[in-house]
Amino acid sequence: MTALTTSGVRDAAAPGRAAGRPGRPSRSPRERAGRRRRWLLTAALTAAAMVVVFPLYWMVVSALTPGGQSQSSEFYLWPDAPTTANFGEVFAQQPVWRWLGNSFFIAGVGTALSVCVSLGAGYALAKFRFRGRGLLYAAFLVTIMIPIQVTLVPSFLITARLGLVDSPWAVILPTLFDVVGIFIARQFMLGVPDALIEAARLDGAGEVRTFLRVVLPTCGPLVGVLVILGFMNRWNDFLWPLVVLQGNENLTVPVGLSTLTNSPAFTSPWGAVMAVATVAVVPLLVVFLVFQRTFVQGIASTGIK
Amino acid sequence: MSRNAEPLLQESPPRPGGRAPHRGARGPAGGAGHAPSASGRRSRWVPYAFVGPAGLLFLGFSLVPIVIAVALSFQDTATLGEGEWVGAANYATMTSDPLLRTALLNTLVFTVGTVPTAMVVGLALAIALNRPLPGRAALRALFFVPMVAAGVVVGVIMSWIFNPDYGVANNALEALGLDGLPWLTSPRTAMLTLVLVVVWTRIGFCMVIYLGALQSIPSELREAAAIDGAGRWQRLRRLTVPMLAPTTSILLILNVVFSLQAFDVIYVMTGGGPGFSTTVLIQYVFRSAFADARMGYAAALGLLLTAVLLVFTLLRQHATKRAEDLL
Amino acid sequence: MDPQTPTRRRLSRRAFIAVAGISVAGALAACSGAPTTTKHLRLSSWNIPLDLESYQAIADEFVAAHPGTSVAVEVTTGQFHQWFISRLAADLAPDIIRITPQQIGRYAANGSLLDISGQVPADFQRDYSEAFWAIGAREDGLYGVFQHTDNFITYYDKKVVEQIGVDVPQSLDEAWRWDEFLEIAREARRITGGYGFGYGWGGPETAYRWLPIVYQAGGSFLGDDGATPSMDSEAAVRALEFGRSWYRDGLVSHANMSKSGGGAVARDLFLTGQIGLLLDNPESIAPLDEGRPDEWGTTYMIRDVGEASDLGGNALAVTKSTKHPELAAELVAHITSREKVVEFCRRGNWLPARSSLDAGDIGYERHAGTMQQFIDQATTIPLSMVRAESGEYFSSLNAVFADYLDLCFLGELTPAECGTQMTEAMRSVTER
Repeated sequence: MTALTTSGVRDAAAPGRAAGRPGRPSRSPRERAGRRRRWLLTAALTAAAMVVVFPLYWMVVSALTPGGQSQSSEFYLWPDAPTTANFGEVFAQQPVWRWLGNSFFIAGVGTALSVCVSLGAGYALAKFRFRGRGLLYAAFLVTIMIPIQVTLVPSFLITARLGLVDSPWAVILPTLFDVVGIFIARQFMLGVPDALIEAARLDGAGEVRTFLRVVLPTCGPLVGVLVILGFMNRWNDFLWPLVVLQGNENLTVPVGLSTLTNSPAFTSPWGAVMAVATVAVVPLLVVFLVFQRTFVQGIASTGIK
Repeated sequence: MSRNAEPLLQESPPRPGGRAPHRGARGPAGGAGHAPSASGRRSRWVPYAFVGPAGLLFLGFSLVPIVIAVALSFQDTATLGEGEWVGAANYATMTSDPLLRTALLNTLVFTVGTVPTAMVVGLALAIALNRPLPGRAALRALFFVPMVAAGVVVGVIMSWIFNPDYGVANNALEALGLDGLPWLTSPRTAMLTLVLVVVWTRIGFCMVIYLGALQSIPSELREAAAIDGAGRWQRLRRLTVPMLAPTTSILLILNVVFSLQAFDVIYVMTGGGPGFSTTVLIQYVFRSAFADARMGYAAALGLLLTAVLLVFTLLRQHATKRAEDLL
Repeated sequence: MDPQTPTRRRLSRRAFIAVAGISVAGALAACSGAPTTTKHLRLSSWNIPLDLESYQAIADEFVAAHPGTSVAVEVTTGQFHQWFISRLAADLAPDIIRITPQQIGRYAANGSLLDISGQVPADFQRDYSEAFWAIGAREDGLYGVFQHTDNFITYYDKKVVEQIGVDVPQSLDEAWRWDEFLEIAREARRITGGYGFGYGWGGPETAYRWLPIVYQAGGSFLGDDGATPSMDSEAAVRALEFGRSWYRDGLVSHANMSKSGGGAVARDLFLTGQIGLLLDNPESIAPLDEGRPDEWGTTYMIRDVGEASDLGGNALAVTKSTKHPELAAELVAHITSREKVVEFCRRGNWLPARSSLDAGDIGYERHAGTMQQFIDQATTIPLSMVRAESGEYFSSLNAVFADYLDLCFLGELTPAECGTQMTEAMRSVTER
């Protein structure tokens, strides 16, 4: 990972250096101009980033404003009297910790299992020829084009018939099949050299062993990408868990949030909503900040290119 | 979808002849534990075993619901299982539904507004943030942040920010001595505001995917181009963009899918209004299914959406192939 | 949970035979709960913490009086129809549902809710106005009991009203007529420098909160038969004209329309001093107390040739998913009994749906005067509006209403055009 990054840095800087090679005296103004441009670009990007982050910053501000009343006809960037009262209140009134725990369990277990399913499917679709492969893959891809509103009720009936409803497995199981994950896995596996697999088979390794000992170890970046994308999608998943989970204690964070909004019967306590929303975003943010480099490197090597 | 991958596919089938002796020598191998001599038969079931879990899940949780939905689209029903078969009546209704026509047009505007914008901005950010800039990692993370917020929350926050009377957007404009804008409250600006918001949620994703693709462009190529004296703009046009074409292709399809299925943000921010100015197809599917309780019609509308996507994808692939043939 | 025998017919049954063929499915279906002799009920309510506590407390008493039963209070998630339709389809809906008058009609009509007239004491009806009883009562049975209500009255900024120098109505008869109100609103607009007043919609699903204006004009949403769309009547068009003038004259902000979202726009405008008057329900009391304590007062809802106010509140109903219909109905009767309604309303600051209760009986801790105004105002809710809103097609009709109201208020359609086109669109729903 580090190697890749530094090489990226080097070659991006290379042209300027190559062009400015002739001699020391002429290099210095040129380099200074380059550096100035770099700082200008950084400044511009930082300004843009501030604008981009602002709405979420505003979410936090709203959560810290009494009664959620961050609305004002005056322009301000920070509340006069920030308070954590919204957090205190909503944590006292709603089982937010349980929601977080449920979300972690569902997103964690779901992601782990789904990554296994996607790896297997990706491997088969990339490295084997078998009857129906093309059709199967095409059918997989078509499923992402069908809006969930249409399949919601039929899917719910099936899940109900399996006796899963109201348990976390009702969320986990039907979402294990992850088309984008399979797609990414297949793309990556296409790039795994056949020679490697052949060599393992020549050594007499069985299919499972070949997969586990030879193919899988090359899949580090792929697994990283699948885990991050999978976790993020599951963490934010809303419509499906909304219909299959029941009982305030058993909800995930986005569904819990939805019980506080979207109701024609009462007006939402927006301060509380923003507090929960803030709490919901933080874990994902941490995951992304920690794995940001791995993620980008992973995408680079997964073959979505 | 990556061109150089296809030859791999052709070579991938196992060649039993080369393997047999070794396997015989080592006996039953690994977890498979099947008779070594049956290698031919074995290679036949192996791929099915690997794809099996995905296949079963697909069958149970995707295919069957889809088949039911297709069946529903030929029924007149409020709840599942109690419908009357009405043939293609739902599809016939679509042809004379004025609201559907409005919704399709709005969907087109929304998609054309969001997809290319998000991709171009994402690409620009990726190119900029692929350079050795100070604070690069932090900047990347910041641009990615909007992706992690739930749709409902984005909707509410943005409604507050863009409220013309007490929203921070107009407050800021007025503090700068400018006139406030009507944002979501005028049929003429509501769609534009929504596009802006949705692009905002999308640029981080496009940026990350492009960043990954940029880093996989061999550095020798760029160095060679630089030595050939290609300027920055030329390198971008002649080298970077073509090298990114497969990524662009995938991002395009994903973005179109996202845009066609964008529901929460629009529902919360405008409810399809003012008037019908932001009523898009997915809104209408939702409304038919759950506000109107016309499951059959909703299913037909949903399948129309799917058909639009499929046609788009196929056209796109066709266009790519033709472009490749020409090269 | 033990899976019941499939009651779905035709299509779905065949589909499930197909699914059952999958071995994974068979294996998973094996896990079902052990049968139990305790009769368990689930009651689903909106996620309002005080109410959840009240329901649980009332249910606990019920359980104590009925050995061998248990009751769990659960929360209804967002996207009500999506959630409820899916749940009903699989017979997994809660036994008892807290549901709004605008939502109940479809489910009462299509067999999703059960007739509970057998378990609800006959004397209940005597303590209800005809309008409130009509929410659950249909020709073929009683599908819900209205538990608590709310409606719209007028909140005013004390300073603004003082500056205008107008007297605030002290009784329903004195309520501001439209003309008077518009005049006051114009003055208020001058004083605030923003707008005159605000209207308390809460998102696209609450367009119906404007229907009282139609009834105040002497119009109706659906004709006398409760089925024929009649928004093209002279009176209805006059109401639309009145509404159009709100926006044309800058008395109401364009951001304050039924579909524009992001919370309670009108209330926020009031809190930020940009309007002097606010037509809204009791939910504004707490935020106003917090944001502008002692700076506001309340009076009755505006009126024209007729009186009317919004139909808010919730009924309790028993769903067809229940395995203990009689017990569930008994619990509904228990919760909606006079004594329990008092308890529930005091705790949650709701208005009782029973006619014999006033603010003194409930014993509100704060703003008893305002609460009494709301209770008085509730008597003005017209029966025909209640019938229309709790009718079978109302959620569809409400969506149509929202669309065309927008077009009229924005000036894209004249009030007359709007009335005609809205009626036409409504007809395509009722004649579907």
